[in-house]
Amino acid sequence: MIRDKKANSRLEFLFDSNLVNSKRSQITIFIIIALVIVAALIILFYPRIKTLISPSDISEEIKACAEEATNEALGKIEVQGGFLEPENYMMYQGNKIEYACYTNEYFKTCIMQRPFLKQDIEEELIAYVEPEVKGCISRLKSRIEKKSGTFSMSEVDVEVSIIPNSIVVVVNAPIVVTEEGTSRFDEIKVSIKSQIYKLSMIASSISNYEARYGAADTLSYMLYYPDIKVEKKEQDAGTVYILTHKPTGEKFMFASRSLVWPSGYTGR
Amino acid sequence: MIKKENIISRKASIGYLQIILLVASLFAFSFLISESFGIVSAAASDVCCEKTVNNAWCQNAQETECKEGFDSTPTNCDMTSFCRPGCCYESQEGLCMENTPKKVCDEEGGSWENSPECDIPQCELGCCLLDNQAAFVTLTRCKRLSSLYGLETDFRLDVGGEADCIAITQQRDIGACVYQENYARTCKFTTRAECLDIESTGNSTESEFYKNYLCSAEELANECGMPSPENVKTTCIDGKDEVYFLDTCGNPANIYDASKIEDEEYWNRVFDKSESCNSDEANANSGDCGNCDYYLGSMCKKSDRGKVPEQGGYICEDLNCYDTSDGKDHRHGESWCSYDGNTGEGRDAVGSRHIKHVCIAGEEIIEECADFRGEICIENLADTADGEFMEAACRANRWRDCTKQAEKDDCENTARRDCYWLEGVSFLKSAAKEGEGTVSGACVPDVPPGFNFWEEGEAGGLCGVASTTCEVTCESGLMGGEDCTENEECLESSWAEQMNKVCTSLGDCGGYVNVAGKFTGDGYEWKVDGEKREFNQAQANEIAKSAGITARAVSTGLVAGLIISLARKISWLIGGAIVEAAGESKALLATTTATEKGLTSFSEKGTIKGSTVLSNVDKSSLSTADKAFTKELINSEKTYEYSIDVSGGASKYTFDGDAANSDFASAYFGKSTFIEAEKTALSNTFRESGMTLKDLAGKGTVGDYTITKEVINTADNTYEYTITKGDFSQTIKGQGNTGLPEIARSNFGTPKYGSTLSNWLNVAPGGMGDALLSGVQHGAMLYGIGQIIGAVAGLESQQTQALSLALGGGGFIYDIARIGFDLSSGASLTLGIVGGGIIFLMMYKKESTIIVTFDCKPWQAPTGSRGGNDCELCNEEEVCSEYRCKSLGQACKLLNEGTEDEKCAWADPQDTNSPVITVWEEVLTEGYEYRPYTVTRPAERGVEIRNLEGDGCVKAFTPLEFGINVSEPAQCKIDYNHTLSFEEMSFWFGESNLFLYNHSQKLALPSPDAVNAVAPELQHNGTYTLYVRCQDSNGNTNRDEFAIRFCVEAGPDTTAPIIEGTSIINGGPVSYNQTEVELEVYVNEPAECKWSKEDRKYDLMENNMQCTKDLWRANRDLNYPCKANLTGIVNREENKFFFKCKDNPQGNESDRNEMVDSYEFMLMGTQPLNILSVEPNETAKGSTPDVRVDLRVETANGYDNGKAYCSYREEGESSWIEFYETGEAENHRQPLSLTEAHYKFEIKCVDLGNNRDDAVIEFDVKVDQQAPFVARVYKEADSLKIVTTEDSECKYSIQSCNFEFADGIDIPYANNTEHFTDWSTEFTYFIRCADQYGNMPESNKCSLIVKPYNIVEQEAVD
Repeated sequence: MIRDKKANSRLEFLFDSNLVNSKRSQITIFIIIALVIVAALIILFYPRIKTLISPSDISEEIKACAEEATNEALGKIEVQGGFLEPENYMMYQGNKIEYACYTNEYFKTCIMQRPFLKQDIEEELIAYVEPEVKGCISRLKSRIEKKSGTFSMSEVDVEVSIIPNSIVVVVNAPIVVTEEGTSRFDEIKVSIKSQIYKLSMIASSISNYEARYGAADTLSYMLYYPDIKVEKKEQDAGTVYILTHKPTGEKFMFASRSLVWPSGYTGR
Repeated sequence: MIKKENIISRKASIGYLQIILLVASLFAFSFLISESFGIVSAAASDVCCEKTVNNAWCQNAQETECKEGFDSTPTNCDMTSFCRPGCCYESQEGLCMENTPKKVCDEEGGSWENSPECDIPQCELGCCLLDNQAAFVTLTRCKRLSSLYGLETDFRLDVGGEADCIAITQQRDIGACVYQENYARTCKFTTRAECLDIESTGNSTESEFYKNYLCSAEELANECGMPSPENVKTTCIDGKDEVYFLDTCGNPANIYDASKIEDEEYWNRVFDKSESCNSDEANANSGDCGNCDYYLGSMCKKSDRGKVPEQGGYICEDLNCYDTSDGKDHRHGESWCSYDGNTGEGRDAVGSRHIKHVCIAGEEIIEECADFRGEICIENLADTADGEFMEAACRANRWRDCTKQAEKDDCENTARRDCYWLEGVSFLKSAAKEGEGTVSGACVPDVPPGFNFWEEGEAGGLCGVASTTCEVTCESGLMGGEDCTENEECLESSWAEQMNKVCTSLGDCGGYVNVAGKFTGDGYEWKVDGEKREFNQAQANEIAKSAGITARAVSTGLVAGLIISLARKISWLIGGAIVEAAGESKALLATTTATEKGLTSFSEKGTIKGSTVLSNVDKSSLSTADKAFTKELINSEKTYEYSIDVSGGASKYTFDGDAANSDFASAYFGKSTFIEAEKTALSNTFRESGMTLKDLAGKGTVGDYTITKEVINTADNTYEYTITKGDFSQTIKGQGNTGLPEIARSNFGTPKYGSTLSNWLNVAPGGMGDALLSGVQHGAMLYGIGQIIGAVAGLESQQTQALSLALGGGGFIYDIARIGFDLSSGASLTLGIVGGGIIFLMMYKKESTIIVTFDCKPWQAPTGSRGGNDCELCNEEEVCSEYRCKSLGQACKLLNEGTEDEKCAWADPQDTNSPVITVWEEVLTEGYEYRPYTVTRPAERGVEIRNLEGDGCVKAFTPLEFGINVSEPAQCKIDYNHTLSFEEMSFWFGESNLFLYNHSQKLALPSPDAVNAVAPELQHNGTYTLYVRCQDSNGNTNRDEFAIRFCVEAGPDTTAPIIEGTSIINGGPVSYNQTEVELEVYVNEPAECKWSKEDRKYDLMENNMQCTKDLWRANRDLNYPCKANLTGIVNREENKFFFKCKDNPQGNESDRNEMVDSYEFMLMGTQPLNILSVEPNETAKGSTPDVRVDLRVETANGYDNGKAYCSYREEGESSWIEFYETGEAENHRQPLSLTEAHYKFEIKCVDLGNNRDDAVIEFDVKVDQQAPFVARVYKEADSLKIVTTEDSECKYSIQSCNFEFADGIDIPYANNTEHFTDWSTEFTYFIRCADQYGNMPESNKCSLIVKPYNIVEQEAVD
């Protein structure tokens, strides 16, 4: 009873009519109660909340990984005629530049070697980005597993689409992560700004022109595409075309050997 | 009738031999001609390679060039199934690529059609409308583009062409689209089509389209309107040239026009471009008009600070180019050519190249036409409505068939070739002669092609086409002198000049100039009768002038200046000329020949003053050939020097201003030729002085009388002759032209006839008629006698003729004298003999031949310092090719080939000049400057680097960059210490060993305090001197060093050390079970370092490191290594380590700085690498002797999920060969071609963490070339069942065995030994089976013929 009384007195103290009746006090109390409830909810649903945040982290990490790999690959590909490891190439300023159109003969127009540069570039990007992304996911997996989480995934594959003004990399990664909750991803998409679509299409057009007529006129292309600078460098081994997207400075280089006339009488 | 004896006669044999020789000669000549002209098309190609060893698809090449594993067929690729070029169509993007081989198209996933130019329905072009833009593309491409831009496909095939297509977009309805959004009436300026797609929200009203209205139109009553003047905004629109106003909603309005900002009408409806401001102008940089026009040279762009519009932030940017490389302004889109000197008509200099320039969007772009003048640049000035417009193009130089053209019209047919007709010469082996039916000109390339003249090869033969030999026929008489009657022009130097012109026109041949304007004469050999001749300096200058190259000099240093000065002096002395270096006056002296100046006689007296030139010189007095005269004013007193070029050397004569021509001439030619008048006068005086008549007695009527003649009256020309003999004296008078013989006859009677002929013709005897006829009669008789004597004596025809004419002439003279002039017989005989003798002397000729040759050889570059000094001119060009470099000098060499820094330099062992070093201002770190340092070094051999702040010293341990320029491409080294030679120096300047003009170096150095703390005995004041030497490509190095001096800031160091890097890549893997790793960290200053597995304070870190504390032991990067043995590495985990350092190891504790933040370093612990599987693990079979086998290895785990490098070797071999595909993934592949045998390969795979796993692949290779056999055949249920001896695929025909396997009817199941098909007794099964390697019975044979009817019959019998 005494205990109850004490309790009551305490309650009474707490619920002093003056206090309760005060509007400001009531608001304060409500705020406190709300905070307590929110805190309780956070504690109660912490793992779930955490999983609500974590997927975003995981996906951001994979996106960053894919973006970095794509930019790395693009940096190599763009100065090598669209290929990471050019096979049929000419050397220009220390770079191996793949022939998009080539003939080993004199007086003949070239034979198309890389008719669909955009697709080739997409494949090259996949070849480079996919293992990189897999590596990232693998590291992510070991990190999560080290923290006693589980990380399961099926086969990861990467799709790359080159579209106007950007490259879209889709990581098809059916991933299920259980770390104080479960989250699942099927697909992570990242878009990287690039003019490679336009550059590769113009490159294809130029090589098509070379295959048909022998030599393309850079001025026509520059007049038609005011934002593109087309440079043509005649070398003994062929012609190097350098396409530059003027607003961004992005470059694409490719080679062609078409309608070649031997130097001098017998050629070199 | 043909007689047998004639067929085998000696004469016939000779005829046969001649025919054989003629035929053989035809072939030989053809061969020689073809060799000489050397027109080579492509290298002979044997086969079509599906892929070459260079990885090029579908090339006609030699069989050895074909890549293994790919098809090759001995035919042209156009004739093969796999490489036939066609149209490759790609269905995703809708691209049609022409001239694509089938194989390539298949590999790339396209659809191939046999139409090289893509004349297929899928590639039919049409107009694709994309909102307000359009593209002339295929339907599929249109769909693709529409989807990419989120538009509906609008593809129109009925549009005529690209221009019409673009025009459609301009005709599309545009206007204001008014609709409801969030309960507000708003507007979007768009097309009608898009407007219809906009769904109004908030209520049910549809969107409304107002064609040609702007959203700001007040009557449309929407929230968008015209902005207030102070809030005017403009913009650029994609695909449009102009600057546009924006309304208050951000919709584009009309073209920006500052005067229309408050013009409501202008904000109401759409104004056409032509209705807008200055529509026919570019309006470049206009502040008040945004009506830009790309084709007129302007385009909308954000304005920069220099060009600001009155309103808005966008302006018409000027796209034209100003003050371009040719010094002119050019319009946007214009292109033009530039050349190294003159071009065309064979004048292009060796090493020259045509260049095309393009002005595009304000930028001048340079495009080199193909080197070796394989392409020429042509330009055309077009008249347009906006003025002249220059257009240029590089196109192939079509010179190849020039030399084959024999007709001028064919030669100059510019539609077919680029040649020109050189008059008066021929490729025949003698000079052309007019009027004799020979070719009077040669067809040569207009722009001579270049070739690799510096290499051994066919060049000699190629130039040799223009080599020629000229035979000059001359005659000499007994009196001396020589007269050339045939091809005499070959003896003149102008002939050699013309031959050289042909030679140089063919290519880089003959005596010609390079791009530096240097003439060399090693490319021709001109000989007259075996005696070598050369063009003199004046001729060389003339040839050089035709190339139009202004001689350039790289440097006019002391040595070069001396050489030029000396050359000028020598040139002056020999009376020739040299072309001076640019900027100096030309001392080209007037040079002419007597003929050219019309000199006819020296006899005329005169004085030589001022510009008077020797005139009126008798050409005949100038010996056999004309002589070249060069006149030069020696001094202002008008003293002249004449140089006369004679064979054997030049003669010089100096006269003062009043010297007579004749004095000059006689000094050279002798006086005898100038007294003819006097001789004539004397002769006349003699003839007029008197004569005797004693010979008159010979006429039979008068004795020996003396006659004197006296002029009685000069007015009527009356003479009186007095004839005396002893006491006899008679005077005879005559008048006018009355001759003495007539007077004599009239006084002494008529003489008798002189000859039978006179008598026959009844001519008065003793007169001139009688004398002439008698002379003719007797002369003819004597002429005949002369012919007989000549024939008998075996004289040459010319000599016989001379003798005959002398006899005949002598007889004739005798009769004229004796009869016509009544001279005595003795006198007449004397005259006849003398006359005959003179005729003989005059007519006697001896013929001789002079051989003149002109050999055309490859042009040769200048030698020695003459060429070497020019090598670097090449580096001033945009592109310095090997061809251009080599043309500048024999010893010019292209350095750093294949890199971005290709440089042409003098690689001459005779070169003794070392590179000259100067400082490179541009690269010096900001805040510093170079100053001459002359305290210990000459000004040109050293500099000081000063900090612009503080005490001028460099900050300690802070990177400083500086550089040097070198006068020629050179490698440079740098050292802190004095050394004796370049070789002894320790470091490459800037760590580059390339031959460059510019070198830069970065470094960071310790403070003097730090130095002194370590080595107090040195008491270093912080001043450093770095020594530099460079070496050119000839190995010339600087003997003396170039010094770079600077001081490092003194004072207390308050900066903590920085870890610049580690010896192992941060994040790198370590082998499985490896628990320790040795690591070096690199610190920017001497320091003590510690490491820990936890991020702690320096003092709390447990592990010390072994650091280099000696300031002088910095590594190449000027960092100080600290070593650590990292322990406790855990497998499969990221192992983190933390490093901290504390500087000034020898200093007081209070002076030391330690790192606040640790340097975090991670090593990845790995797991074992595993080889999961290897292939082949069973017998590999093939149907060819070489069986394609792929070694395959799959790896897992390790550092990066199985990523590893795998290698293989056959058992017993020692060396490992890396797989063809490895390193990038966990699957590794090595394709091999193996013959039938047992194989055992060892495999090893190693990952980046150095984890390794091994395996062995063992297998047999069997070659199966047997078609499968049918082991059993029977009816099973309602099926015909066939059992084969191996897995195979069977097909049948009901006609015969002769069917294509692919066309046969399938018998399931393929790749099995048991096969079933329906049982039918209606027909016979002709069955052919093929195994998986394609082995099958021969074309018209079956594996089995099954006749179910027979089997049924058999069953019935059974």
